[in-house]
Amino acid sequence: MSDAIRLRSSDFRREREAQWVELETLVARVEKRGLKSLGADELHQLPRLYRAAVSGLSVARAISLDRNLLDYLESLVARAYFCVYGVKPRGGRAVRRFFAHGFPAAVRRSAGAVAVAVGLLLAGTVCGSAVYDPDTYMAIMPEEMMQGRGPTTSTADLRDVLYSGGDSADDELGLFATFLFTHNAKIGMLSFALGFALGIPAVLLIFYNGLLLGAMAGLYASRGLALEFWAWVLPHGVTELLAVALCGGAGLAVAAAVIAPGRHGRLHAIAQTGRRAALVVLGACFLFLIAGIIEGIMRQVIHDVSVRYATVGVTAVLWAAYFGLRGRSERSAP
Amino acid sequence: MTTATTAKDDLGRRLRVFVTPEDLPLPLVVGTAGARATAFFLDVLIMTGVTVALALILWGAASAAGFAGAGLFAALFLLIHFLLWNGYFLFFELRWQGRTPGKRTQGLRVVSRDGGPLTTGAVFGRNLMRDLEFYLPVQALLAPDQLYGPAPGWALLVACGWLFLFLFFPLFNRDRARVGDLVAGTLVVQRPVARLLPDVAESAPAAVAAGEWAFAPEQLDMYGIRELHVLEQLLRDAGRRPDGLDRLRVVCDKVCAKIAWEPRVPDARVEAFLQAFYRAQRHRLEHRLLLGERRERKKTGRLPRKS
Repeated sequence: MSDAIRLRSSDFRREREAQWVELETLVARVEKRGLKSLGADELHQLPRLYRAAVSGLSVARAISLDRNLLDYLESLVARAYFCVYGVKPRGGRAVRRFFAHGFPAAVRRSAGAVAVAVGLLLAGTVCGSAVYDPDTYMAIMPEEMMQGRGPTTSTADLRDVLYSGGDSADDELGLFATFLFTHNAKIGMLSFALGFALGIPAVLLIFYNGLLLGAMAGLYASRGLALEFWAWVLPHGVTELLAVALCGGAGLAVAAAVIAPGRHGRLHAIAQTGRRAALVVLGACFLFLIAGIIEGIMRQVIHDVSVRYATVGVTAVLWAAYFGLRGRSERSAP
Repeated sequence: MTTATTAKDDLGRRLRVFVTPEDLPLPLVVGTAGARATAFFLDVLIMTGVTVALALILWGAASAAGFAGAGLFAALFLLIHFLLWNGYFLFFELRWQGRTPGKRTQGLRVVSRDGGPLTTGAVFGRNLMRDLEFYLPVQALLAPDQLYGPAPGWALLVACGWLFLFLFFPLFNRDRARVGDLVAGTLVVQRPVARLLPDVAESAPAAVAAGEWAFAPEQLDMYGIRELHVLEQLLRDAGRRPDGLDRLRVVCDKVCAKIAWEPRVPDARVEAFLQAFYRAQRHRLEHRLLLGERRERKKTGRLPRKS
């Protein structure tokens, strides 16, 4: 009589239960104290026990109607899944990989959007300098950007700004450079975020940045200081403007995915583009940092116009080579 | 009983199926808006606390140095502040597999919607959007002049409405996804917590195993998997709830009526009878399952009594 009512699902559970409990203890420890809390042996056991639980769940779904057992196995597999698949290379190796491959590859795959952003930035600059006159200058330039440089400032004072910095105290300069870096990085991250709002604010932000630069250039050009002005802006400007364009391009790429998602559906397209574009912005933040450092050095020690232009050439070539050549060898996704 | 049903339906609405690389579908429960807001609030609280502590320490150090090189301390503050407010979520979500201290207290976790591992791009992307979703609306509320400059009133209103659209975005979709979750293709789920309880079929007293009651196949065919699961829950709750045994009595009478069981089961034997019935029923349904027939629901009507 008792044979007739022997439950296979109970036998199955009795056979596997010890393994599941073992996995559960390991998972609970990883959740609390991280993977480092596991010994070498246990680390070895984790994927094996995980796979056993996965197959156990498949079998249980086919043969068992014990609700609690199914719920338990589902939750156990989910928790173990996060422990097993959540592990990524980190620390130095992840950073190296990002700069050697992930970042340049992400930039190249967003090349179209970045090119549009560069175009917008240039268009803004050209417009700003072409239509320069004192009234428009005062209208578009915010006070904190002017730093006392306006149409009423004397040519000598304007010129001084380009070569000041060497005599100011070290700590003041550090503060200024840090402020500039954090400010620029924040603007860059914002222009990525604005991409989701169909890109219109992002377009305006990039164009406006170009406009300000152009207006300032127009002011200096009107006093015959154009050459020296660009020698002051471009050494760090190449890097900084490139970073602005990268962030803006990342925003535009997201906007493009929102507007024209393509074959795989909007949700999928946005997620795919968003992850890639986020890597571009992450890299661009480092570009802002480098730009800040270059600016600090230029202001303090290098006042010679020809050296300044040489720096422009060197940084431009370096960035072109980096984004053009790096990250091609590995075909795997970052 | 009604509250229990709604709670269950709500859980059903929050279930998302997630496919592991082994091709195994796993149901996960999406975190509630309340839990996520609480987690975020706690994280902001921690960041604010650290910021204040940092400001005090640096100010103390600067004053100890007689404010010589105060600019250096200010620069240091600016830099650490920037790294803290932009790197906090990035650091913890990468380091703790999608959990921040706030999320941990609420049992929440960020996962990749496609079932793959959480990538740096996804984590950074979802946190970049926070600027637009949270900090901008807050700034719009607290210091609108700073954000828009001298703008006409209607433009301010439009801009505010637009910003708040993003802030309340999670309330308008089933996944409770922020804009950042969309951009990064992520989902915030609750930590599953089911415990392995004793097998109801195995905890039956010895009398059951000896086969005191025998059920005919047509009696067992009256019920489906859903009813089996309800019975499992009832038997588990019997010892834990004060009215557990009374509920068993009611259910026992209903079952007996449906399957035309005679004679009436005495009060003292109700639990044992239902355990025996559960066991036989599960055996029958699992057997049908193996043969490829999954009977979900009970049959309508009753089995006619044998005369």
